[in-house]
Amino acid sequence: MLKGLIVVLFSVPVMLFGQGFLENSQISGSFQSDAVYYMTDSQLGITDSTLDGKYFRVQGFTDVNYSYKNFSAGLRFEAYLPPLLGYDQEYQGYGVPYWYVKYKNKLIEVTAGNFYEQFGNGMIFRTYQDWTLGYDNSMRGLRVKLTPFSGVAITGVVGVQRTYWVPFKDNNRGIVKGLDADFYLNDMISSLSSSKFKLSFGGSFVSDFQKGKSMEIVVPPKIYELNLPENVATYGGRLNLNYSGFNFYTEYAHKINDPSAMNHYIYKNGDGWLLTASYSRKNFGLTAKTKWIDNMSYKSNRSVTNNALDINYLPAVTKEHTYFLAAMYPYATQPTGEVGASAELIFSLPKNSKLGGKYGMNFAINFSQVNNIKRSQVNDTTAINTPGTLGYKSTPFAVDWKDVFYQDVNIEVTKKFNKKWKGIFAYYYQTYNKDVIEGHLDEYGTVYANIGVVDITWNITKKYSIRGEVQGLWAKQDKGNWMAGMLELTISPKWFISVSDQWNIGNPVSNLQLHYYNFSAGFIYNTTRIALSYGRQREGVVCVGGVCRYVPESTGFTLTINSSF
Amino acid sequence: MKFRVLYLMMALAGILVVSCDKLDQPYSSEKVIVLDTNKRKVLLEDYTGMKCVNCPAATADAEALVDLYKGQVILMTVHAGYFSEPDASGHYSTDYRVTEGVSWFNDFLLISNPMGMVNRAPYNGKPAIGSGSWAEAVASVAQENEVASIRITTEYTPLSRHHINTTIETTFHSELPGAYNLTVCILEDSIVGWQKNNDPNVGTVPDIENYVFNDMLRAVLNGTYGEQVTNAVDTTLTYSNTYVYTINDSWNPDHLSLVAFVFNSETKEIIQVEKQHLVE
Repeated sequence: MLKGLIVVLFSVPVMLFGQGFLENSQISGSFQSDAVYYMTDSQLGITDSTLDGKYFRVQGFTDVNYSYKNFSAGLRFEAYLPPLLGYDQEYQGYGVPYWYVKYKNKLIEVTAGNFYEQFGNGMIFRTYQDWTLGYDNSMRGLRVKLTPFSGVAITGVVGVQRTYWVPFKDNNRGIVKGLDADFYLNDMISSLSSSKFKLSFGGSFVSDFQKGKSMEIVVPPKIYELNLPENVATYGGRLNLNYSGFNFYTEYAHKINDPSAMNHYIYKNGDGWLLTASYSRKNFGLTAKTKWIDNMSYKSNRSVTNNALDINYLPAVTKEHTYFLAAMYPYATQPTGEVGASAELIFSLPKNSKLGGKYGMNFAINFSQVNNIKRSQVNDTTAINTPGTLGYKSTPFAVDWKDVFYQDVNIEVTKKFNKKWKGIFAYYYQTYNKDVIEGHLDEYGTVYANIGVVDITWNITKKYSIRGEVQGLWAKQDKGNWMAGMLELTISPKWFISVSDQWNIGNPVSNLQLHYYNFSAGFIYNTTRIALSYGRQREGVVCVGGVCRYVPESTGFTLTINSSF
Repeated sequence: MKFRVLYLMMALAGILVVSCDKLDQPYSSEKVIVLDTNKRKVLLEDYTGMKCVNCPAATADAEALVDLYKGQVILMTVHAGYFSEPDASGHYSTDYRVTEGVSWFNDFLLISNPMGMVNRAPYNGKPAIGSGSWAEAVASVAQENEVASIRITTEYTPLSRHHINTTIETTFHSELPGAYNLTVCILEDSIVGWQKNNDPNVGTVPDIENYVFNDMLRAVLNGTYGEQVTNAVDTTLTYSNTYVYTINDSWNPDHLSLVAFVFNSETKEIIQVEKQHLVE
């Protein structure tokens, strides 16, 4: 099948265009392979059974894109043999889940095959791929983009979404149709083209067709037959204003009745609001965001509850951290309901100032909080979220102040001491409702964590540098206190070697006060990077943009190779 | 030209707007199940684990289906997957797993708990089904006509304790293509143990100290994928398979059942299933 596809995509144009085709065409692509040899580890409780006897696991992909004048085509080959631990095991296998052919001129762009697309911030439609998350909800179908006038962009899509390797048949998932229009006023009206005041707005409509006007669910001891909407529609609008350093963006999304396993098969409409305001000038930036999410899970299969077949994406307002311990408790968006706000202040003390010193000093102060939305019963006799009912009542931006999902207050200070020494000093205070975020009920409670990080870089010479991190996390809940350290030697431009350890020094169970050590080395040659590591993986959750994946504990060797051309 | 394109897009927008089904109340109605003895029986496999917080609610759904379909649906709970792995010590150190159950879990890509299979028939393209769709899948399979019947005859007396001698007789009612296998399992009811739980409607949260495990797979008498009954169905014959098995000392014979199911050797889809209590 793969051979056939390659022939179609590449050899047919060769025959058509001959020598000129080769001379004027461009080929680009990328490659990544992650191979892990897992080992049993009695301290972590990892046995042959845990590994399902599959000690060696490899997953990787190769992207190839070809373009010739207005025409382009590409494909991605993926293999999961078998998937690494923590990735959805339904990916096991290999094949070409993504291919496309595209034609583009000034007026129109047509894509046939797979495509990734986003309307606005994605609150009613976003398809994307994230290798770290093992997530891909690409559309396979048709996309048409039009630019009928300067400043007007119209996009229409129709297709079905990818779900692992399961082919589309017997209506095993919905057919998604969407239309989006963006209007950039400053481009549409020539007299405004040089104005400092910029205005754009847009609107979208998406509908998902899932065949079947009824389904049965069990609410012990009875079975209920639900009437189902075969067409679930969402629509939304957005507005962006910009003046000098000020920017304001807002987006609203509305979804009609969409009973699903995610929302306990209730029929309430869904709503989503996102508001962002920011101001920036030299050495100063201030951003504030707020969002309201109410019953906005939107999937092209109403039975699915895992990270698959999402039609929309609900943007995160919380900050993602990269340091080991600061990233231990990340926030996962709750599509059934959440209300959040965040603010970030970034400023610099100028160089050669009294406080800033010779090299200045940078500050980033961030605050974010997410709470549950306030819900009330639809009537006195119907409990909240009763299947086959409206579910509950809510009012936009009505907060359940007692039910805090997440809070993060943090400050990061970056200071260059001299030409050789630089430091980053950070403090975080995080409130993490483990039950809600990880999907438990009254099992773990809320974790309150104080985290400190010191990150020092010593540029010994232009070629050699050493970076060291010391981190501490103090919490009375969950697994208690942690210490972490990392030392990394970089030999520019090709080599790096690092050693790190995360030590669960305060685990309430003394024999679980374990070390999660890691030794790694890497080599970089042009656009190719090869890294080999050995060590333990701590159990946890990895999140990108509020979408998360569970990572189990493991021990072993990891080889990662990535390259692009 | 540009205006034509715009008109086309506006027409498309019109089509999208009608792609919107707004429903009125009532949204649901209670289903009355009419039993028909000419329909095939259904094996609902509930892949569970004692450390799976969502499993008690799923099992309650499965048990409700068994009650509602009065004998047409047979439940088998199989402990397999990450949440069934026992701890080294503590409340969750009992290992309820059976080798064949773990193999089924892996082979049918059940992936996690709670998941299930309904006659191992594809639902939305694959046999693994989330608990929210069990009712729908059962309703679909339960409409299919009976194509085979199974009769279980077991010799067991308290005097012959530990030894059972069971004969499974399979009769096909239509000339089905392909080969068919038979699997025979022992299930046990009323096993009391710890179970994690996040549904207060089912039991205490986060742990149920005295959770009653019913229909738990204890053993498979004839291997992961059983034994071939026939590779060319003959409706005039009755196929007979006999098994002698020594039951584990720790099992309570009063709580044991035999479950036999016949399935297509290639697709693994079950065409008929039967259950018999060891001690009637």
